[in-house]
Amino acid sequence: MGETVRKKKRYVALEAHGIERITPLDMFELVAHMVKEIFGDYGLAETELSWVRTVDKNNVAVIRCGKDQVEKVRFATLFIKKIGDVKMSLRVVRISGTVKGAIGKR
Amino acid sequence: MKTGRKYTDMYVDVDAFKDNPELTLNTLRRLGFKSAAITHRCPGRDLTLVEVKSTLGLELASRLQIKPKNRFELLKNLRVYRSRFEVIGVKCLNMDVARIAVRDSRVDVVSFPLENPKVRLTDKLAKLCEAAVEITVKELTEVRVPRHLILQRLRNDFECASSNRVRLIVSSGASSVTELASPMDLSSIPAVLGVEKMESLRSVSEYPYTVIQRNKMKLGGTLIGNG
Repeated sequence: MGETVRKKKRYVALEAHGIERITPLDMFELVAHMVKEIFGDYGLAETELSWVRTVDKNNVAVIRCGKDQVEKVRFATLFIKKIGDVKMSLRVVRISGTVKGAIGKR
Repeated sequence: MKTGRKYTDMYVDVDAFKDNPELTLNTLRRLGFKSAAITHRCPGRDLTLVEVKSTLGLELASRLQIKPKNRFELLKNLRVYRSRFEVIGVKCLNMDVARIAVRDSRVDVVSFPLENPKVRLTDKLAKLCEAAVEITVKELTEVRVPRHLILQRLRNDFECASSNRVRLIVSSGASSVTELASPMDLSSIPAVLGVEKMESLRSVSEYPYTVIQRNKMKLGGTLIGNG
């Protein structure tokens, strides 16, 4: 039997602070842009970032990345300080192996 | 899995906060911190903070951040303020100050300005270093130097610190609620820049917490020192 080729993923729930309304897609684009700025195109490809879905809660987004790449995503979020002229920050709320776990519905 | 780590933010600038300190401390608690070292200069505020910390279950320590221009100013400040603050941090603006600060046991944490490439942690300094070396997220994100140069410099500093067994502390240096970061986010900085995972976690838990506890015992008169 050959080894499994399916790579494990992690679902990262992000929360925006300091801004009244921001769409999850905007939050994902902010993170992807920052990962690309810091780690380059190759780094962005390595993280395997993708947008998962909108969450009902305000200013919360769930994004997906590779299992070993969570630190890079956390690192990139630290550098996100504003969108346009508005000062804001993104914080990682929860990390899980499932979307359900990341949103927090048990 | 709960590891029982006591996460500590070693540098929160409460004085600079325009919003109330209660909100700040509440956010710190919500982010998972068990203790924090805060800078505060207004004596009137101390009482409020003591009341707040008891309700939140957050251990607070007073911190003084000094930026001496020369060794005489550093030694004078240490003589005057050491007994009044639980944590003393020194920002080394030149190598002359750095050489004294890293050796002095009265200094708890030293930091080096990221915008000046000449003032940095060298092997020679690291061998003498008794204090912990601190990196603040605020400085890291706000400094006006190309990012690749900062990351390159930090990588070298971290390598130098770990090869000489110098303790590394990562703190937020926050002056507003949006600048506060969770302990795991803080620990991602050394983790990404080549430090071992467990060591990265120690830089936001064990190392800062031990400094605060030891100094509290010292100032409380319960610590029996060597000699």
